[in-house]
Amino acid sequence: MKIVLIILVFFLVLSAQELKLDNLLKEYEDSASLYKKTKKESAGFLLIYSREDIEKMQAFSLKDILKTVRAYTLQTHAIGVFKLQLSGQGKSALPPVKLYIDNFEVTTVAQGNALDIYGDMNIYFVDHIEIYQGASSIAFGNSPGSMVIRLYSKDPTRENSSSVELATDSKLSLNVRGVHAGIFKDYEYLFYANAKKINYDKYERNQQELSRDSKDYQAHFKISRKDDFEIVTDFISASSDIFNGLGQAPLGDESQRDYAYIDVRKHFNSDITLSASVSSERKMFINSDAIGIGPQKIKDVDVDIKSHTYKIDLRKKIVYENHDFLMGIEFQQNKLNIERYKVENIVPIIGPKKLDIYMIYFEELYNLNKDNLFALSAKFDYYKNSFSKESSEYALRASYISLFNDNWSGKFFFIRRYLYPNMLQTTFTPIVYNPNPELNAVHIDMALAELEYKKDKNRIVFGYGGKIVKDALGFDKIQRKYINLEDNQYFNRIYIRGEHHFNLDNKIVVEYFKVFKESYNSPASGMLIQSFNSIGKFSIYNEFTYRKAYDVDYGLGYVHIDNGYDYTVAVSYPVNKAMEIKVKAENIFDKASETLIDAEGLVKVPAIQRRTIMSLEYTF
Amino acid sequence: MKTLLILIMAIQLLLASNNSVNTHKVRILETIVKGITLQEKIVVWSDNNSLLSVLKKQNNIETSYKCINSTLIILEKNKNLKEECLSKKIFVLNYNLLSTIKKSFGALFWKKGRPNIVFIEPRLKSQSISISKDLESYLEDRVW
Repeated sequence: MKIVLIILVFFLVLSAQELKLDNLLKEYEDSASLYKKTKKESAGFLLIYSREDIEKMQAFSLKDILKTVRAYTLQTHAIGVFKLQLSGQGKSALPPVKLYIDNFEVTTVAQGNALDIYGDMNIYFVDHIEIYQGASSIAFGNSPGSMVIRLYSKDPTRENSSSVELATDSKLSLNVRGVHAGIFKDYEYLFYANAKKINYDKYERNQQELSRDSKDYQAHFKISRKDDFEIVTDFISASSDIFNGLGQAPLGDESQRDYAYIDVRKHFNSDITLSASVSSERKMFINSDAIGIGPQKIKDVDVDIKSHTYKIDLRKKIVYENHDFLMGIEFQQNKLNIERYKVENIVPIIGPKKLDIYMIYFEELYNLNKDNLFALSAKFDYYKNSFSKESSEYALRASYISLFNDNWSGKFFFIRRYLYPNMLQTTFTPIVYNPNPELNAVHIDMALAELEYKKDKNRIVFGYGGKIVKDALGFDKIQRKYINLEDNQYFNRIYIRGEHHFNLDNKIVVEYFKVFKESYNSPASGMLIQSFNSIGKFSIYNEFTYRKAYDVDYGLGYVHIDNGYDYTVAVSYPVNKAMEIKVKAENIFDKASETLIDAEGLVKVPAIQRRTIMSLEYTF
Repeated sequence: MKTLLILIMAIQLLLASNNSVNTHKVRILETIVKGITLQEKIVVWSDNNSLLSVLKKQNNIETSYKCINSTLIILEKNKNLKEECLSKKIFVLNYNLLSTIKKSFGALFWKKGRPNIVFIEPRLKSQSISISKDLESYLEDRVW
């Protein structure tokens, strides 16, 4: 018995020592997390999805992250793509969400916003994601958006490996992705490729099947030398069945969206950066309808649009005493070409095909002391389109961040900004509505405040945001085009977020938000509960997302959409150092928030469908 | 003077995160070195100057500013390994160096976004290096 006890104590001591070194490695990993270097607290209300979060969540694509973001609801568009709906906004609004992949802003001309192309992108090459809400930094780029999503690719110096993952699901979808990253002499490189075919539940409308099955391909390559240069290129091709399309009885067909860019950055003396980029996009859209589309009852639509965006930016950073000053200039040109337009006998109305934007911006961060930071930003932009319509706009931002004491801190932002109309609204769009070249920019005044309480392993955040929107864009059903509204729009929202970190491997997050606005059309409140756990070698993730019921009107009166509850579980287990098995069940109760597709209220579709995904990852 | 103090505080704040990273790395390396037994007394030298300075400051293990006076080298870059030090025991900070430097016996390195430790068992035996029980879980029989 004594010997057994001695052996037991010996093994306990042994495991404790092993645990100690493993814990040190874990602490090292946590303290060296890349998001701690890249996050910018002064840029707005910040949500961070660390690499460990993303891995535990088994977030295959960007939409798996976006569905958890407060104040937004992931929805399905009638043509089969995903869209993010900001609570309180009308259903025809184009949310000004900006997307960055590393330092490159994905600028789209032919789409509503960048998420139409990249929203369902696999994020296997992404290290972490930062989401700034409300008050994005002017230094992030042109026309500050209501939400900025920043994806940071994996650091080659920390990858030094090749990984391949194969996934399939209960709908017989297939997803293959691989990343190879490392160092060659002084150069750091990353190569990523993905091919996937995703199958979805089918629906029926007017005796026609509605399918949104999709096929996507993506390749991404990055090469850089520290403090010298960085070259990034990316290509994505996303095609999906037309789903409902623009009419009422789709006869099949599909839409395809391609996007490619190359972004080159050169650093001089570590404080001057020159960057230049070219991006090209293509949107093809074929939609035949048995009943006919729009009031003209058009039977066949075949459209092919191409666009190019050129950007050049020069910025200088000056750090002087307790000032951190940034100044820069940027030029951007957007061009749109309609390659093919076959819509029976209709001649399209086309607005200006070219838009030039000249920008100058400044941002000053002033550290009053180690506990107080003031930030002031200003940006002046001049727009000129090929119809000779000119417009000068500006954006201003003042912010104050303070650590009141060891437990309390606060962020306060006051912003005046604008939102320039999308070329989809001013220049060209197939059939559903007419472009309006005379649209003016939307002007927005915002005030935001966030209070944070931190003690031991707990963190509680209270947030408030209020804004007045002048010259807001609204859809005129008679003229069938976007117009600037005369009445001001008011938005107010609150949120509360609580986090408890049991240790480095285990935490729980609870969050609630509510938007106060008269007319909804999208959920006015929502909730999120996430638990990230490690038990032995198992990683376990639980997620519960709630979106409140809402009513929506597509022209035949209001249709009620029920409360949405999405419960998702993900479990992974490393078989050995090279191989990991993962299982994920999404929308387990099949009660996720739905989107209305038809005016009659017969087709309601969840953005996240119920399915089980199994994947196997191998690292070389 | 006040401005100078604010500046110092700001710089300290900026360096804090990097220091935290280095502190963890140093603690791991100290634990590893303490778990290693050589036939001679362990004196550490590293080509990473900031790492060596912190190790020296911590004073938990004996260090030397000269490679030739050391018995254990913690090596980050192959080009920094001088010929007169080739006979020393070598622990590397990059997994690829395990292949390049055939006598290196172990590594602390980043792979797939995580820090890892590995000891190559045949190399430990051939150089009469023994490791404590708590390091044995990091043993591998070859470089992959």
